[in-house]
Amino acid sequence: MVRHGRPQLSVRYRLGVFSRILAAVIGGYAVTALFTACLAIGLPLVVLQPRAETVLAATLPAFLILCLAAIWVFAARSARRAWLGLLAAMLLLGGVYGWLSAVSLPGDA
Amino acid sequence: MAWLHTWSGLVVGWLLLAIFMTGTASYYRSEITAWMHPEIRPSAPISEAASLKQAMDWLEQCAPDAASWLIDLPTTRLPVTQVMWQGAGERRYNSEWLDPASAQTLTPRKTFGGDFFYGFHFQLSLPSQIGRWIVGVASMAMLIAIVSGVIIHRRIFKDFFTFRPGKGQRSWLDAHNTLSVLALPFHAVITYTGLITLMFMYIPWGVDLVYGPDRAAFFRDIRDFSAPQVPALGRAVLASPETLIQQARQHWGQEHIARVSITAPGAVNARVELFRDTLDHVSSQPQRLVLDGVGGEWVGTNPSTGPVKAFYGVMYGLHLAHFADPLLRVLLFLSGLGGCAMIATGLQLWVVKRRGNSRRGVYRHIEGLNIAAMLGLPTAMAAFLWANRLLPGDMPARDIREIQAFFCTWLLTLLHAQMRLTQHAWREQAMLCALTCGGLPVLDILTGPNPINGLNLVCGLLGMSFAVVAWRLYQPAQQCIPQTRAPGSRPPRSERHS
Repeated sequence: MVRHGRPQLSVRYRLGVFSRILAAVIGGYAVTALFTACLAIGLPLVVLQPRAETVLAATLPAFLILCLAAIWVFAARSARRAWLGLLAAMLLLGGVYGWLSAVSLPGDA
Repeated sequence: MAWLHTWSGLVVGWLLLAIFMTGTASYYRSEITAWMHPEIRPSAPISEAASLKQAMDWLEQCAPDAASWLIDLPTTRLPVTQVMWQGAGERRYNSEWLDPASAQTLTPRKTFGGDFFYGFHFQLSLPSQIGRWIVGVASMAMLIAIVSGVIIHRRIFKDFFTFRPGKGQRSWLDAHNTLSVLALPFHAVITYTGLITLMFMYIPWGVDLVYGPDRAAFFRDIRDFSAPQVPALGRAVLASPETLIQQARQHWGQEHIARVSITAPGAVNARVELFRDTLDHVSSQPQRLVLDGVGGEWVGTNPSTGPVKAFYGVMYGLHLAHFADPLLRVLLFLSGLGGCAMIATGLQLWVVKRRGNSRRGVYRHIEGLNIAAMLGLPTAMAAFLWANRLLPGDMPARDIREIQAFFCTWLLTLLHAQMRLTQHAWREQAMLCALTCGGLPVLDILTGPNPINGLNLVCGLLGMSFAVVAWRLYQPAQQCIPQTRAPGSRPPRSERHS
């Protein structure tokens, strides 16, 4: 396909784009899921509220988190940095989740 | 960032256009349903007391042994009383429509009415899990496109007042920017709240962690379901409609009942729930009165609502817009059309920018898809309404045939747009769309009971708008024709954002 007045895009560039799309979809969703999970078990430790309130408060911000994650992935200087950033967020949230589930004993929530 | 906006917008653009267009039509779901049932006669002003009495008398006579009754009172948007009843141990409700004036049973033609566009809007006529996930992914891409669109748009205020018509790509860009910025709050809110309506399917982790396997308990907690079916104990006379109306007036004032649910009618433990209409609150959480089914005494109201649940109810309610009065509804409808135009100009900008002056190759086919999405879909939607009046009333499975008319028309416009030369496809489909939309009021005058209705007005105006588009597209070699641009007028790449 001939592009008017544009240089041909390299395979490397296209692979980078593909990698970023994967990062946004899979990595972004993983970060969102971990964030929601942290809120769902963390909120009852901070505020006393009905269970349904906790679920709603944990789930309502999810789409904004996913949105921010996707924007990060495509704003990062390279696909590599995008993945590294997401992995850092996942590690952090995963750690928080592990700590929270150790703190909130069964029956506590 | 700019190409995130471009690509996330294009990949799902056609899908989003279909979601937006059917969603915009769904602001008038009841009106479309009423239009598609010409058996419904316009009736004298409706009183809730008279309608409730008729409905309860009818159910007393025709379904005295039912486990529960459900009555939807008529509204100005859909002037029929809907009576529903459920036998003991049954899951499904039986349903009949009553004429609010005569209390006679109506036998309307079989059609999905406005519910078809409404269901397509979030499920695309696919199996529910698949359809809803596709719509969710598209909506998420839309949210990302909106947020990144704001970020890449450095001159947001200036561009709001910038429109340079007849300049090919630049005009498409200006139109896209103006439409986007003009209704930006609407686009952002409608996309986010749309995701909210199905969020426990997309993001199940919160429910799973807090409620474990008992998801049903969560939904009982957030949606105030009607009283569960209970076995009837001993016979007693049901509270009279007058008593129920009196309770409603005492708590809510005149004419506010939308729905009445009665469990174990005619039993000692009968229970009545009155649901208030949604015209004066945004939240989708129902407001209700629970009454004793025999004496009619007040038993309770809604369970108290926490702040997050209230917020969720408002978000959900904003998307459904049941609260909107006629003027607000018009404004929401116009914002929805603005959203369609924003997506359409974005799609066209994508093509115009890349194809230059060549009308061959892959861009021709992408533009063909644009034509089928922008002009083919409204034509197909109009065809759905045409089929409603042209198919014989007693045809077997006629409700399915109407839907087939919709999809066949859409498919034909797609094939037409792929086979014809691009500029011919634009003209011919604009003309076809003008005729099918503009013809609907004529069809209604010939076959309907009440030609003075809003739907005819809107279809007439849409038909005229498409006619103007078609007329301008038929003007030879004008700058307004989307595919013309003088050779060499391509702006330098660095001039604007991509």
